[in-house]
Amino acid sequence: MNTVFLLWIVAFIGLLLTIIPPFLVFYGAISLEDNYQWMAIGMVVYFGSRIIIRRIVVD
Amino acid sequence: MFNAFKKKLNAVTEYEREPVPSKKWKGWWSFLGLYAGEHTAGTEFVIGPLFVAHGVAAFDLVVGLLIGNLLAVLSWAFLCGPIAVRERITLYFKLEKICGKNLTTIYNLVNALMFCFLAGSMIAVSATAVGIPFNLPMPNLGDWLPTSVMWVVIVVAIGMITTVIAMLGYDQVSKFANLAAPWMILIFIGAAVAVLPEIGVNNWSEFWPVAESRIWTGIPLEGQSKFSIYHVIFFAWFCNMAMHIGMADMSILRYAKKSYFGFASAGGMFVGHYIAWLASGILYAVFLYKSQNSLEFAPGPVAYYAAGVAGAICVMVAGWTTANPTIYRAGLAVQSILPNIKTWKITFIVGAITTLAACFPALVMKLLEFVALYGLLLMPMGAIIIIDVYVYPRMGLKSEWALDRGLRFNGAAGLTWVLSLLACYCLSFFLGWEIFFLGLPGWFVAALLYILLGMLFQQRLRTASNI
Repeated sequence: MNTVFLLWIVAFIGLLLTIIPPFLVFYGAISLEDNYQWMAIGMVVYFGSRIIIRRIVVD
Repeated sequence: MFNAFKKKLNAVTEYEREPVPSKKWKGWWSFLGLYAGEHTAGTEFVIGPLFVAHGVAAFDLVVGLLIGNLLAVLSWAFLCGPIAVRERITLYFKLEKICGKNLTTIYNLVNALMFCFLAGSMIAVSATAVGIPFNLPMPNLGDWLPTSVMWVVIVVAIGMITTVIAMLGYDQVSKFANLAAPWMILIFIGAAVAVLPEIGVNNWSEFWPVAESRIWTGIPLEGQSKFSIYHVIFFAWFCNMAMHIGMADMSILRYAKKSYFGFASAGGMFVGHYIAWLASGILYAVFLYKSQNSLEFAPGPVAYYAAGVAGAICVMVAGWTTANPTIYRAGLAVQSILPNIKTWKITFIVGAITTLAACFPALVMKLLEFVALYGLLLMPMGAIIIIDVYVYPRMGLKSEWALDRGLRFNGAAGLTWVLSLLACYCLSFFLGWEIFFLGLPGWFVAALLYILLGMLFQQRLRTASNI
């Protein structure tokens, strides 16, 4: 149960990594190229954790 | 291994000809996720930009979408949801009871074909993203035929994957949509926000003036017609007309625990058909601005420019989450014609036709018109169901006439379908009404016709029986 809860937090962090970098680009804090990398990391983190959650819950 | 896979496929049961049992009913979240996923999809990467291309003004878009989407949610909630939960059978089985097997077969063929084309357009959208690493030449706004061999190869590969997922049934589709939906909408929003500085928006107070002057300018691109606020309202309302007013989502909402779960469609309308359309419009406006009004029309590279690999993958995933339930629905439509063939075999055939259709970029370039036509063609059957369920009993007419009389073709329903579409055609041909506006008068014509023809046919049969 704790593992699943932690994985949900990781998934949420993945979503944050998807949405925060574009706003940083908008405010001029990072470049568009850096944004690409952060969004890609966010995607991997989000889908990775959600897939593991599903496996744990189903098993 | 193949036998194990086949065994799993054979075990997929979708209650095609029986009410969904209570143990299979699903909660609110399942539908919210499904609708949000389905309507935050590949089409959104096309429709938002097409509004830009058709010269919609900023105010018209923002207000028009608000009104149109609200009307769409109300249609799901008050027309489709209550009947779906009351009957708990597929649209096709319900139609068979009202219209008879032969008329339902014709309807199902038209329906399945439309679903195939819609899913095909989504696969084509996905292909524009998959093609990026292969330097695939992207189609232009005026392209109708396949643009290269590589285009066909990529489309076929995506079509096969999408079909296999759809073959595994509704549960898999629902899980996939639920999982991807929150991430996709964030990609839409994020991608649009990240590129705003490229068109001169450096703080939020600059957004509206730039939106009016560089995004939704009110001036259509060369060769495109001008859209007003009425186009936006009616398109937003009727783009899923086949699903809500046309009752196709009976097949989905019959799994709902409560009839008001139709309101879950708001997740799809106000996230996908509002935020995502605005966001994709911004992305396309940036592309036009930087490419000096290039005619290339490819959502994949546009999203890739704004969000990198995540953007391109979002276009692919968005295409899949629409194509999957659409192929599933098309499978159900054909299944009701051929009930003895396993669902997965039907879905495989439907997926193959979808993939063939996806090879033609015309499906993407003319998506607005196609979506409007698709809703219009299927709408009369929704009117027939509403009248049959709510009005006939009050008028002393027999509901489910075909089932009651053992008819294979309910003439009243068949004539209603043909004549109401003919009326819509006349409105278009003689009065010059655009296809986006035909659905509303068409529904009332269909409803009125089914009442009058029902009275006529049932009276005639009763008289004949008495003699």
